[in-house]
Amino acid sequence: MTSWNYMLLVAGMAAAVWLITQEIRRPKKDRLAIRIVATVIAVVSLVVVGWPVYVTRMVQPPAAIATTTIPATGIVACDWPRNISAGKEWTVQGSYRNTTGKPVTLRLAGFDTVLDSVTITPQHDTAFSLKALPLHQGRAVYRITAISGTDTLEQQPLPLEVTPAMPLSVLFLAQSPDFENRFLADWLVQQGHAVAMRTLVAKNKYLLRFSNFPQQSLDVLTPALLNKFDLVIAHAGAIDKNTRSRLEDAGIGLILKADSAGTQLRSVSLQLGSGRRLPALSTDPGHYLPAGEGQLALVTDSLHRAYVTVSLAGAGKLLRTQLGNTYSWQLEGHNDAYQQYWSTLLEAAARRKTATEKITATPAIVRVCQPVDIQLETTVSPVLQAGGITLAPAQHPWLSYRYTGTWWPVKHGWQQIATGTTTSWLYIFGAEDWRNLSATVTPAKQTLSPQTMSVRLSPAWWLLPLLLSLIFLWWEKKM
Amino acid sequence: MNNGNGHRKIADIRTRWVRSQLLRYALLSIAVAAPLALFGIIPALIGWVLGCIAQLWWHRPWQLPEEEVTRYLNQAFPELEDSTALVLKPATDRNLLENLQVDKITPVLEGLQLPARFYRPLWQAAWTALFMVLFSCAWHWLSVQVSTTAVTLQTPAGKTAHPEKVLPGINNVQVTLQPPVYMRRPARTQSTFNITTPDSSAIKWEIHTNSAVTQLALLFNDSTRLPLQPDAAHTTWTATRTPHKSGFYQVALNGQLSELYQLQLIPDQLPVIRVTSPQPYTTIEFGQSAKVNVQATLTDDYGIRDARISLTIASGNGEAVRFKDQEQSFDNSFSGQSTQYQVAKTLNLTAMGLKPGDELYFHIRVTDTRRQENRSDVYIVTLPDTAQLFSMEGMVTGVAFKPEYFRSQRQIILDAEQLLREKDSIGPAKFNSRSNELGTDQKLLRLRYGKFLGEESESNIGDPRVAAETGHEDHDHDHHGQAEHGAEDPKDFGNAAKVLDEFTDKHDNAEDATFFDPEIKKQLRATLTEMWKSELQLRLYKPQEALPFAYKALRLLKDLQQQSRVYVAKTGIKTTPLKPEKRLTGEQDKIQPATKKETRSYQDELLTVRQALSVLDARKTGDTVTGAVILQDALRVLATQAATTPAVYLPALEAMRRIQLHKGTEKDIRTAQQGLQKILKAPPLQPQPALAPVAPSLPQHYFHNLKTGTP
Repeated sequence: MTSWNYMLLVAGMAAAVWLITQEIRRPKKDRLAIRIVATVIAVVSLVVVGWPVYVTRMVQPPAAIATTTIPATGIVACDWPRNISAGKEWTVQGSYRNTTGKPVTLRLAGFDTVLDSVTITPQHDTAFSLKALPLHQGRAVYRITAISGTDTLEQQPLPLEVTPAMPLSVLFLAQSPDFENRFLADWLVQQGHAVAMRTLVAKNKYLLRFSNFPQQSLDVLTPALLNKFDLVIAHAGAIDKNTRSRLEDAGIGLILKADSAGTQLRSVSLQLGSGRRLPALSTDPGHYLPAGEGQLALVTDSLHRAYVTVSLAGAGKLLRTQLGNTYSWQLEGHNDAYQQYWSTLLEAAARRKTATEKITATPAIVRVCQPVDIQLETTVSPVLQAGGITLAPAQHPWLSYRYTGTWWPVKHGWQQIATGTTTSWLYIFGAEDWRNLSATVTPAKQTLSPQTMSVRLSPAWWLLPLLLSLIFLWWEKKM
Repeated sequence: MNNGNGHRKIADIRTRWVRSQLLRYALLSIAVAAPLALFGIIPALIGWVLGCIAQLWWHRPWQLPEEEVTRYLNQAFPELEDSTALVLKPATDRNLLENLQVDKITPVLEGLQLPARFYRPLWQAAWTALFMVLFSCAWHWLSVQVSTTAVTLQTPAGKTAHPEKVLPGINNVQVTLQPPVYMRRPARTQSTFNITTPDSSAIKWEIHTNSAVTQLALLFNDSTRLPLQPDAAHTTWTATRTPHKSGFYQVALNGQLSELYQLQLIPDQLPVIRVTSPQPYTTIEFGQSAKVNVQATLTDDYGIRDARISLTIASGNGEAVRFKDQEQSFDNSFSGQSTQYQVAKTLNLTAMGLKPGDELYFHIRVTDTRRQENRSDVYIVTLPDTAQLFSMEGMVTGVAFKPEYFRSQRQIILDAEQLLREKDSIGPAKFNSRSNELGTDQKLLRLRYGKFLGEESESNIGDPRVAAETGHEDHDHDHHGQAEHGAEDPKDFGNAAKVLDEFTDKHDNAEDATFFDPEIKKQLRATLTEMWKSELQLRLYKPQEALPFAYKALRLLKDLQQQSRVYVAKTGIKTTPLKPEKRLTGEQDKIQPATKKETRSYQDELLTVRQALSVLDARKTGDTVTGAVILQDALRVLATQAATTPAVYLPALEAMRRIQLHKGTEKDIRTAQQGLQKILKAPPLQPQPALAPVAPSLPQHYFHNLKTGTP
């Protein structure tokens, strides 16, 4: 109701009252009721002419040429490792589209404890990376929550399985006893890894050490003996060409340590390839290793000179290191840096664990009551059971060890996938989880049904009763 | 006199009018003052007084003329026939008609009753004041109400957030906590089972049951059972215990167990000692007062019983060093056993028998009322032995490190002491001039050392010509000067280079500046500062005050000398010639190097707790079968943790118990998980090999074919 409408209404009522009183006061009292009715009709018609009146009308909308989609908001991309080994840092990365005018806080929580959080600025697409050190072992569901002020905008599950660490077997070949090998072996043994060490102390005399490893002769390095190890750490002079070619054939990693760390020692600040900074170490910056051309730098200094490089060597890896005094980190109490450094090196070089079977599920977000393709790689006869249902996998036409099967999960949560030898777990998401991951969302329902539109009624229609009533009143006066 | 009566009546009405006006102003001022009362009584009083004064000053009610009253009466009462003013007129001035009129209205006037309308302004003022007072009261009540609710909202107390559950049979409980006597705290009574109390408090439980029970006991976490003693009616049960360890307990009523209640003991902390004076290592220079002022602040949470200072005097050196221990008490009296003391003690070293070269070690021992003892760090006071500085031991042997300069500083000290001895015999004028001369010597010495630091000297001290001109006899450097004099060659006359060399200002010579390493330079600079101070005192004719600085300078120089002698060059090594043919030919057949063998399995002792987290996560989704054993182990770990810190782990422990009995809700699972998480820390980082593709994979085929060269 605008002010115009009010004015019209008041004016109309005033006019009606005045006209009706005039009609009543008229000495000639004939047809009073009809006159009053006619007056009212006239005034009402006059008012309605000035008063916009709308009527609803059904309109058939034009058919959509293409299905429209709107860009999704919230967490529009997210990925995380579904399976990590104990002690590893867990990273959840993704992208958040904030179309609201307020900052949004993303929280990574496990067991109701906030582990990491990040704030997304308003009106931005922001990539985020949240980190946590999972404390549990086994399967658990973490949560990522988007919070704006006190409102929870979105909460999504992040299933994660933490598996116990698998021990490595490491062979040390040294030309002389040194602290570096000693400290590294001690650390590995403490963690439950197997270590065998052969140290030359005199001509053809070796000091031997077997930790978590059965005692045997290490004089001759036969292929069968070498095959028991995942990794060999050796001085350049302590390993001959034959042994190296055997390692390359078997895919066993080799860490070659420089015989000399140089003469002009200086304190150099180092960093790992992942960007993590390490404490300063005294080494000779002149003796850096060439990187590039198949050599990947693992540890560099601030000038990007490589001190540890890794390259492919046959089926295995060859890692060269120029740093021979990392034990000083342990003595200085930088245990974290020491663990980080050697974990990186050993992981880069160690022989990959052979698996008899491997299961891959596509898509990455498996929803309940949606088909999931399960791919099984196996060398033995394929047996595949998912959620208690036996699947009949089809063999790949060219890759004989690869089988695929389709499964329709009916329950959400952790579901067991069993093969002939192993069982693994797959998390089935609920139907409403991770809706925004497909960067666009089709709107809930396309309104293809006829729409109602309001159209203004032509004022000419109201002139008719006005004229009729006025004609009646004029005629009645003449009578 | 009828006339007089009428006049009196008018005066009476005027008085009432004035009085009601005054009352009205007072009431209106109350209305103004009432809101001000919210700010306090003083603003209200000031507001009231100001309001009254302002209204009185404005209206001046006491100046109300009687004519005004008659005018009002004429208007209000028609029966007075507009003639009231006549009453005020003196009788002599009235004419006959007026007299008649006065006689007529006087009876009317006398019988006049003032109408209620007369008091209406007064009533209005009263209502206004009442309304304002009520309004202010309501405002005050509301603000108090709002602030208290805000406070109660802000502090959701931990205890109220988690109300404890009491067994159905128990009516109420009185727990009396009596802290130990030495704490001198009053006993406290609470009606809840969760207990937080100082260590070694005596706890008395008094449990009232609503009906007679046969058995009531308390079960503690160290599996002790404390039976409660009933009264005659078997409805009031009491027990007393003095626990010495934190933990938790349960109430067992006829074999029915309650939930766990925490029993947290707050330990009595050790006393804290803060020594404000002296410094941890103090050296008293020769000539300084041999008194050490020890000041310390002692604090304890309940009270300090005693504090003492332990002294150890070390005298002699080498193998002949002797120690003497003694203990002294502070001057303060500790009978008050208050929680904080400022203690001070002046140690007179000479009275204690310390001689130059001796050292004093002391620490403070404090005992609190629980008889817990704490001691401070050890502080060291040294009296250096000046006699050693004069020993020639360092000079005679070893590298001669500019010995003439050191001798000079020693000479200044000797001369100053000689001067002091002769003070009485030589008279003030001579004394002052000799003191000044010593100051000059000190300056020259300082300038010489300044040269080592690349400093500029205003008078060329090394220059022989200057020495010759001034005629100053510097014994230590005479030979220096003569030697240079001797080197002067007549042929050099007119040698521009040499003349230039002598007279060019070669300050900040890089060669000079880098002559010593930074550490020596620092010490040299400190020496120069001491020399400055010594010179100042000598120039002020105060050789006595100069001596400590001179001694310190000498000591620093001595140290410098010692430092520079650390380097010992090795020369002339002779080794036997090697026989290359004999190298690496030793017989080693009988040598069997050691073989080290060990097996150490890595076991994460918190593995069960880690697994329990996962098992509990599975329970959330309804899997109640798996992991019962793991939960059992985790419960045991949690119970040991709860025994030490019940406040943190007790809710989790209870939740775990309920989960084990299959009575746990999702909230219990969350509580248990949070408790378990607090126990855990991140597992150690371990190298992990990557997973290879399944055995005869494509890359392997590829590698194999590359290697063999056959497709």
